[in-house]
Amino acid sequence: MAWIQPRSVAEAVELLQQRRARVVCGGTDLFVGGPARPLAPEQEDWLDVRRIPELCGARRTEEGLEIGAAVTAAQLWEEETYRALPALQQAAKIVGGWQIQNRASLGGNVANASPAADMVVPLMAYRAKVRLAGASGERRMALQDFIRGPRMTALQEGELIVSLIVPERMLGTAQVFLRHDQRAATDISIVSVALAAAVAGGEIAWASAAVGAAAARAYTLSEEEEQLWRGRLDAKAMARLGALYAARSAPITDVRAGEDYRRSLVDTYIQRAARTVLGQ
Amino acid sequence: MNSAQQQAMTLTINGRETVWDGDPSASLADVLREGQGLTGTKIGCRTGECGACTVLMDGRPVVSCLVPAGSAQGERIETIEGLAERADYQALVQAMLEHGGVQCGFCTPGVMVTTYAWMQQPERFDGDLGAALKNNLCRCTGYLGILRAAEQALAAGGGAR
Repeated sequence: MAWIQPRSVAEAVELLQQRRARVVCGGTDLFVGGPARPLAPEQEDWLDVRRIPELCGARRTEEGLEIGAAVTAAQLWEEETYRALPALQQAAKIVGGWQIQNRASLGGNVANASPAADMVVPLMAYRAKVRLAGASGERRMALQDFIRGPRMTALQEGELIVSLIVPERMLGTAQVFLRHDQRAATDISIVSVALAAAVAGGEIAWASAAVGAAAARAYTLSEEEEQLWRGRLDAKAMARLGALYAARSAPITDVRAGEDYRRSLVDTYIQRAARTVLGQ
Repeated sequence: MNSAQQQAMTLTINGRETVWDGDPSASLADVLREGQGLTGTKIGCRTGECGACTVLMDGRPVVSCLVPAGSAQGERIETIEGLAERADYQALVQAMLEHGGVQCGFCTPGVMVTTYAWMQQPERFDGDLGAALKNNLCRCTGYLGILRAAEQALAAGGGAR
């Protein structure tokens, strides 16, 4: 067993073919629930992607903002580059605490595919794409297709998450990330909501929202249904939106909250998010 | 590599380079305590919640119970033993004593490391140490003594590098 630190995506992909290694980044999910989750029997090595420069920063492209998979939560809320994505910054600042934020990566939050993941929720609202590299080259897919269910993704063997791509139209929109938890401390969300909206003169031109921790994976409405966000949004329109998102939830009952409570929180937080971006 | 589980790793701890032979997926907290005898770093929960195992990696606080040792290669690791040699850290120690920032003491090493890191750049959390300490559980002091101590140490010029 070895700890391997490749310096480029090409090298990492090659190592993944040769050595059947397990990808690791910040490692914050590795020890939860006991000693480090062991390698699968066929795996021999750990592949640490934190030293791959192209995974550790962001770049503006024609598509929008491409964020490297190894960018940490602390980088997201601290660095100027991400100011155009306040909902993602708010989510990054609520993940664990400062110490976790200094290690936990955006790509790791996606790969771990927890239904209660915080940073995934704004990415879903942004309609982000995942860029993947593997032996047969690169591919990209919508994040909502990539995350299949609790701890399940479309990542194939020998593949690596390279980056998350946030579409240009999302940058600089009015945004908010809201999370309901019990302790306002190191905790896991009971329900979370992210909203990005183009707002002018108290009116929403278009908006995109995602809900976390209220179903097997974070979800959005169809783009057609999202037309309901348009306009001035009086109390009735907001109530209708809240009810629609709540109806689409499929929450579980666990130690943190009951199913009904979670469903009702979806309604509350969708409406609260709407009021927040409208400055009400 | 000595066996399937072992790898020789070069770690820089408190300014000294050490070669450590072991499982690269072992937690840094265990390596520090058992491998290096640096028992100032405490282990409370092993799930990254309590913050007792906080150390600095390249000046940033991390929970060492969640850092695989292999991942710490090439980073500047500073434990509470390393910080203790600094004058501005000693100002914080003095302030903690004066304000009752320590009771049972188990969380204290982690609290000290996070607080010291915060003092280097308090504007990062808009001056709010409470926000920086979100990942450090203290069940005795109620935090007030810690906050007052940090305020005093900062006012006395601590943290200015």
